Amino acid sequence: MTNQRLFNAFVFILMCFLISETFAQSKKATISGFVYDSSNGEAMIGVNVYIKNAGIGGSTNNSGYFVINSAPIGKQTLQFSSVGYKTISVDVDVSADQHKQLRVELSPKSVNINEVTISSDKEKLADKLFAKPASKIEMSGSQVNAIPKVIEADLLRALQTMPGITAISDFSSELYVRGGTPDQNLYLIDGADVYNPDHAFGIFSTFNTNAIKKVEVSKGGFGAEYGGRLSSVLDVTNLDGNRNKFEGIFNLSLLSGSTTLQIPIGSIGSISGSFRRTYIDQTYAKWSKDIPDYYFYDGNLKGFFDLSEQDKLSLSFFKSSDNLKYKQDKDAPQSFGFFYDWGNTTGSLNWKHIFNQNIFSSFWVTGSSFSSNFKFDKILNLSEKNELSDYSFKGLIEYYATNELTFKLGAEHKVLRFLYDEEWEQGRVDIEQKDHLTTAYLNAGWSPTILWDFEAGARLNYFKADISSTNIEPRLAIKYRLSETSSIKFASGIYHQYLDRVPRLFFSSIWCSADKYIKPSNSYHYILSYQKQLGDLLQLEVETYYKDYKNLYSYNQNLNAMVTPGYFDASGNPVYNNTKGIFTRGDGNSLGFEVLLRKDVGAITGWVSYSLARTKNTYDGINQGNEYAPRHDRASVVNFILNSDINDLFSGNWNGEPTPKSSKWLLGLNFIYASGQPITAPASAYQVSTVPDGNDNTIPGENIPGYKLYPGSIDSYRLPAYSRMDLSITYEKDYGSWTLSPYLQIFNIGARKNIWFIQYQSEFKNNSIIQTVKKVNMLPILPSIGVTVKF
Amino acid sequence: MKTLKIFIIIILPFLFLNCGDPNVDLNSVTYEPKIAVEGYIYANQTVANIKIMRNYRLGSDVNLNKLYLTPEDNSTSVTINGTALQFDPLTKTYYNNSILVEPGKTYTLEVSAVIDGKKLQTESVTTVPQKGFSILSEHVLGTLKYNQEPIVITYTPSAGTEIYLFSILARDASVSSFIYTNPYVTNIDSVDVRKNINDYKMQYQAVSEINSNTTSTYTLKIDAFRIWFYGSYRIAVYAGDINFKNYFFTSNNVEEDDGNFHEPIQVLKGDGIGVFASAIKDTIVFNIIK
Repeated sequence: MTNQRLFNAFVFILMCFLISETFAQSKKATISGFVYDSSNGEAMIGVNVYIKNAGIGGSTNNSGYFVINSAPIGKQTLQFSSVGYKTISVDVDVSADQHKQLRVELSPKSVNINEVTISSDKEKLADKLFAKPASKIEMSGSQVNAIPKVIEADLLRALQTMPGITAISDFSSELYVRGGTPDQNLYLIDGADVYNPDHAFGIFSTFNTNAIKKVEVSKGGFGAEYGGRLSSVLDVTNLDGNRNKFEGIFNLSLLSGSTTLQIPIGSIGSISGSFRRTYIDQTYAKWSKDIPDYYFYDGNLKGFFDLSEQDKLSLSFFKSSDNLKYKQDKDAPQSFGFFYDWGNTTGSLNWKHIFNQNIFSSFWVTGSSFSSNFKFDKILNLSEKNELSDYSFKGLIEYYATNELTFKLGAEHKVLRFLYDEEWEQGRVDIEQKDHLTTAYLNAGWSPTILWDFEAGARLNYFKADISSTNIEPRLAIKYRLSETSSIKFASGIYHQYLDRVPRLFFSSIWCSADKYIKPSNSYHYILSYQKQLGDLLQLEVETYYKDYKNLYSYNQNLNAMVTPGYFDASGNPVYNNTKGIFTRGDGNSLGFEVLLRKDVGAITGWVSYSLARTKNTYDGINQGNEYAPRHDRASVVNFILNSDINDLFSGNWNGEPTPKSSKWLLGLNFIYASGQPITAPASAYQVSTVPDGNDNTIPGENIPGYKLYPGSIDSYRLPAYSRMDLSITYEKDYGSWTLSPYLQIFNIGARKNIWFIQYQSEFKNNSIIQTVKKVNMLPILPSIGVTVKF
Repeated sequence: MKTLKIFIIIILPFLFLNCGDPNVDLNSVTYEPKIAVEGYIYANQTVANIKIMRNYRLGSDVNLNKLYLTPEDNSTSVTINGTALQFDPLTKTYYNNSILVEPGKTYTLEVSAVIDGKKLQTESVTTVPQKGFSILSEHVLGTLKYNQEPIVITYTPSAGTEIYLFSILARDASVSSFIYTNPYVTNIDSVDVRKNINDYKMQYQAVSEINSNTTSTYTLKIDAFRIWFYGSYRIAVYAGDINFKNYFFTSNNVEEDDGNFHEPIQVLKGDGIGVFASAIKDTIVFNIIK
């Protein structure tokens, strides 16, 4: 029986089981339902639900749904609690075999609540720490916005302040997670994959922070419900929309204007929409010949509909676009110039259905596409088209067998298409790949006592291109409570990736899939974590990890010499139609240690973290096959984030609730220190001409032959350390129905000249070729202003 | 006030670390001595002009007298297919008039030398393209008007050729013969020309993706922006092997856009860098006028 038939049989048996379970008679009393935020009607994730005096409970899932099986019969009191919200109690009266369905709303804490609330937050904090998987980071949109920024609030730049996540430079928002490269991260917006999520040549990401409801990042060891990438998952859920009232935000910065609006649709649902566009092309570019015509925009639209008590539907749409028109000399009749545009479009349809109180399901149809187009203007006949599409159908069934045992069963089918087309006068690249990736997974979560939590699962992948590959990915996570406030966790798993990327400086990456020339990649994760609540509101997390990679693919820098045409067209011009020679194959590993001390509650919030890491790669034919540190390896990184009301900060109100007032000054500080990046520097020169009769690279006026530079050991030299501090000051004025917040941001307030890269200049002096270094620095001190209006 | 003091004490070290202009000291970059080979052999010619040199640390003394490796100073031994090459002290090159390079044949270069007290060895193999390549003689170009008449070269390919390199040399290149009215670079003066005259004087155009295993003829139109001077031009066309191609495409492209370096394709094994390659060579001349 072929792999495809095995998979089909598995799905069929699974569906039969689920349908029978739907109609099965339950002899237990069950309480289930949804929990919402009373201020905006958004479903709440991770809310603790607890039956007083019964010792049983649970928490809401990603859709705000909870189930408590085996509830005691009679009058019961359920307690609902979440950090930052008022705890409420709901009385119910259940009889045997009854299924009670609830709709609960929690209110955000009022600023007038006293220390009693802080104490209850303390208890919830310990539970929240234990519930969180190892290596997971959660952030809200408001937390992202509070971090000092480079002109614009940016999700990926905010994540670069977390331990284990590094940046390659100030000009890049890409994430390097625990020694992995950005293509090893899975980006999801409302369930749809996103590729190349960047604006402005990588400086900003395409995620509009005002549209974000929640961000969950798993730096490693993630469960069976995620796959297809080697390193991490970034799962973004956008706002469903305020179901109670019209709400909006308008923001104007030096770079762009943006707005987010949320509108209820009667009692059945809501809509939220965001739009952002830069305006440099309409202002600065019209006044200055040196600034090219460039702009970007992005927009989100999401609708949420309550079809019935058992059915909920959401539709989500996202589009981003960057457009550049460049001309070297605007006055010259035939000046060098080019056009370049790129962007993403994603859409998802999500249907949530409750088969019965124990079976919650979620189904998605998603589509994602990326495209870029590049064309030289007149002088050179060269153009490029780069397209990618990803259409998926996914299903997830959550079966709450008992209060201690939960199963997740899922399946996904993905259709991928990659197209890269480049044309020049005497040749062409025409590579098109069409692939299918089919996945089934099973995950079991078991909490036999309040001290232990086990999760075990497996993913079965079937990848079909011009090759086929079947892989099994076991996953395991174990948690143990050492005390009321501390726990240890272990996570491990095998991960496969069937995509690779050609990264390019300033230009969008080109994606391709595994095929007969490129094998699927895989990685192994091992993570050990210790977490403790310190005092009332501090969270301490200490983690160590080891990752091992096989079949990594790095862009072949000598591709132009090694690539061979697949065939010749009618004119005798070469056509390159396969991926042979594009990449160099290698293996690698990463080892690291991270410490995070975090405070999310109170008048002062923020975190301080330290990470110590080492990553080594070995690539065929590079560095004589010896291992070396990749460019993104950073031995030590320190991060410090602080957000506070200035009055509370200097009055000593560090742990209490923010002091209520109609206007306030808010302070944000961000500090980062990172070890220097490894580079390959030239070590020697030699006098061999490029061509037999040539004498190139000569030094004008000097009587010596031309010379060339030869590199030293790969990535063996370290640039100086990187350090930066940012500051933001916001004045927030509350006018009752609306709020005005002008702000000042200063990026790199110390004006440190962090080195981005170095270039070399040769000078023949005193009978020697003296190599002088020209430093190209990253961003200088960069103040920016803006204003935000909330209504 | 106390809180303010604590806050300032905490923040000050961060501010201190956040300032400054860090230096880059490249003296710690590791240097390894290597044998630098510039060796081209041509079909139907004897082995000649093989240069065996050394590399040198950046910033160290470039002593032209010590650049070339000699049998006397460096115990240098050079052989091709086991036959020793002789050293010419006048040209500082190695040769052997008894080795006639034949199309389609394979040649192995082996070199050993002592540099800075360290014994080094290297070797490389090249296979000469098959007989067949030539510029079609009835297409002598003569005198052409600048940017009005195309420069087209017709040639026949050779099996085993991986690259056709057109080496374009402006034989009358000077500050006065430079074409200042060119449409590609405006606002250029004689100072700029003098500073970069070698870059303008020597241009290259390469073709590496044609099917060399046919009897068809091919044409190459020289890009208009490779002509920068009025006067006499010489184009030497090399039908080169895989070593020729790999060295040409990668030896000068070791620095990436962000200043990082990577290794070129290694044409020589062991302790060698540079090139040992073979080709069939032909030449054409023409003049450019206004």
